[in-house]
Amino acid sequence: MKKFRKILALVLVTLLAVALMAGCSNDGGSSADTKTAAKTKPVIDINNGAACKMAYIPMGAGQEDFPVILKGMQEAIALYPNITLDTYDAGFNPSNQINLLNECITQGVNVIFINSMDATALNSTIAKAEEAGIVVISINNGCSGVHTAHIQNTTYDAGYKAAEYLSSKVGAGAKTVILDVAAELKPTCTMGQGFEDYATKTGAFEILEDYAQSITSIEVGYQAASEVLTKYKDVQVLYCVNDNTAIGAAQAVEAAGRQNDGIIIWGYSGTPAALDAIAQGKILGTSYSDPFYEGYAAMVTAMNYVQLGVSSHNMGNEFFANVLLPTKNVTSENVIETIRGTHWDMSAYNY
Amino acid sequence: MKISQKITRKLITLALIVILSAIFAATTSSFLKLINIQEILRVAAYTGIICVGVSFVLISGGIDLSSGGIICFTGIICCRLAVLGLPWPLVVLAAVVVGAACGFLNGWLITRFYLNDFITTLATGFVFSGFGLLAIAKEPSGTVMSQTIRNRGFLMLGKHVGGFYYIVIAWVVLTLIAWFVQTRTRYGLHTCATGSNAKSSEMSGVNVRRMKVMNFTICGACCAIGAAFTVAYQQTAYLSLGSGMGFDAVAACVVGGVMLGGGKGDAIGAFLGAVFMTIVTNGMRKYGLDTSWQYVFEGAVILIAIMSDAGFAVVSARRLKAISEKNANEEALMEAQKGGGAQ
Repeated sequence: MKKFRKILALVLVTLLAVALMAGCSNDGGSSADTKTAAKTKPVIDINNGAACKMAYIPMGAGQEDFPVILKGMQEAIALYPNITLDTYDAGFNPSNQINLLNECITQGVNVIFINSMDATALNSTIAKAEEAGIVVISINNGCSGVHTAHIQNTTYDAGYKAAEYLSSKVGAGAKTVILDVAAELKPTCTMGQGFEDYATKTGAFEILEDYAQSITSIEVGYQAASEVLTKYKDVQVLYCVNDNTAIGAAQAVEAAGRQNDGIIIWGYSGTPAALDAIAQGKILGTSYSDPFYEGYAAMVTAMNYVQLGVSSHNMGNEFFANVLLPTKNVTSENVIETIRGTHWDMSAYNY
Repeated sequence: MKISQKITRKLITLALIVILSAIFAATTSSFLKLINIQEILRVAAYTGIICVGVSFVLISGGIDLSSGGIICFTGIICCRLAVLGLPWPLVVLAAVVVGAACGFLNGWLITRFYLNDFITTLATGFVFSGFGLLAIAKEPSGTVMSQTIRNRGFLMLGKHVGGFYYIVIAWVVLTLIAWFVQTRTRYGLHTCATGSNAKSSEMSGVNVRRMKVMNFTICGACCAIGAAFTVAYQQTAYLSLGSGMGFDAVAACVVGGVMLGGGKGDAIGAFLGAVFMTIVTNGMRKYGLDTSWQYVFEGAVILIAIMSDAGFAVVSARRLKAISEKNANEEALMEAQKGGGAQ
């Protein structure tokens, strides 16, 4: 009787295994094929008209480089009417970005591009999106959690290169204040860190303060710089980690009547207003990048991934692609040439 | 069967919710998906829990715009304590105590120094956000550190059971408790009386100052509860946590029929208001409209809701006036008849 039970159990287990294998393979393929099929998601054949839905979530509609990044994305899909790209406004709030990510999951988009507001806050929702088979690509402000790809200008190198250039313009130990990004963005916007590291390494700058601001606007830059100018009478360099702050700082220097004191101001980004300010001699220079190429690179990356059917999730969440785009120092020497080649909208300025 | 004014007001909001949902369901493919409904409820629950607290303040004739600051501060406290590995009841309890203390401070300042609620809570909101910045984890260089919570017990608060997020369950329970307190207890009656006419209430023996302080304290505690669940869901806290929530919660309460001047409304109205606001935002996103048009439509729909509320208030006021006039006429007639009889 015992023997019979054992045989019966063996038969049942074998039947169950066969049934499971038959259920898993849809074309009667081998177990190896089944394994592969379970690991990869279906490829979206965008070249043969397969529909592909993409979403772009910037920090907010007011994000300055958002229209240029979008222009780059749209140009990359100009030949693909089957690819749709919707944009969403998160109003510069990480909670809204989380809600919008959930919205994209609900809508079943294939790709999400995101300028993250917080390096950590979005991680669990991005993981949820990847689990749902969505390719998530972060642009500039990244997320610490694993996602499919990250496209970024070299922020750290930009700060380092700017410091290198500025050191040739000022004497050793130049008194410097860094007007930095909001504290929560510092982990991913590392230009200030790059600048500081060069200063520590070479002793070219004496960093008086690393001044973090919650908002990056001309007005806030003006207020911050005014405060710095009052606090540090002998400040020589104002290294600003974005152009709006740099422009505000230039206005503050002018308002304080210290435009002839030789205070050097440097920005980051290369916005139209900053390029104009450089041409006008109001700020010395900026670490320039063209957001168009960020958008273009992000879209091309996405198109590759959806065709290959690869995302960080089906790669085992252990790897994500990092694409670094270069920045260049723009000063009065090369500003006109840069303006002529930029994708930023310079129509408000006469060049 | 006569339906009371209170119920009619709620039925209007409910009807608006049903109409909007029907429109979104008919015109979009993803509105009725289970995952979307779960998401609507989760987002509504976050606003809704804050609305429960704000409804107490509004009904008693005040306003609290510091909710965002309290959420930020208590959220960061939750994050710090959860990262330390404390058990979740302790984390939540600590946040609630701090939130309640913030609310108490609001109430105390307003009643002790006879300050204006609007400006005071706007100012304290900044103070609480500042406390948040002080409390947030920093690196030795002073840079804010993004901390990921790995405390499993605490993270459970951000999960769901049977398709319902725990925050939704907490929201429903809190709403029912608040509704009971507001409509079935002496405390609720006094809150309502304080909002209707503070002077008369005081003359009738209601301790108006204490009521106000208590209601602000409840509001602070609710903000902390909302923050705890949200931080558990997001697995971290950050400095802009809760930003804009002060206005959102007040708007949701008003849409749900809680009167800005005080004296009217309850937690069920605030509940419906939170659902309505979330559905509007969620539905509008599905059309793939340009952001500017999304804002225009969202604002317009909320305006329509408030206008229908105002219209209803006018009709009710006219009805009340007509009834009181009719009663006055009847009384005058009876007086006249009595006088005639005596002669």
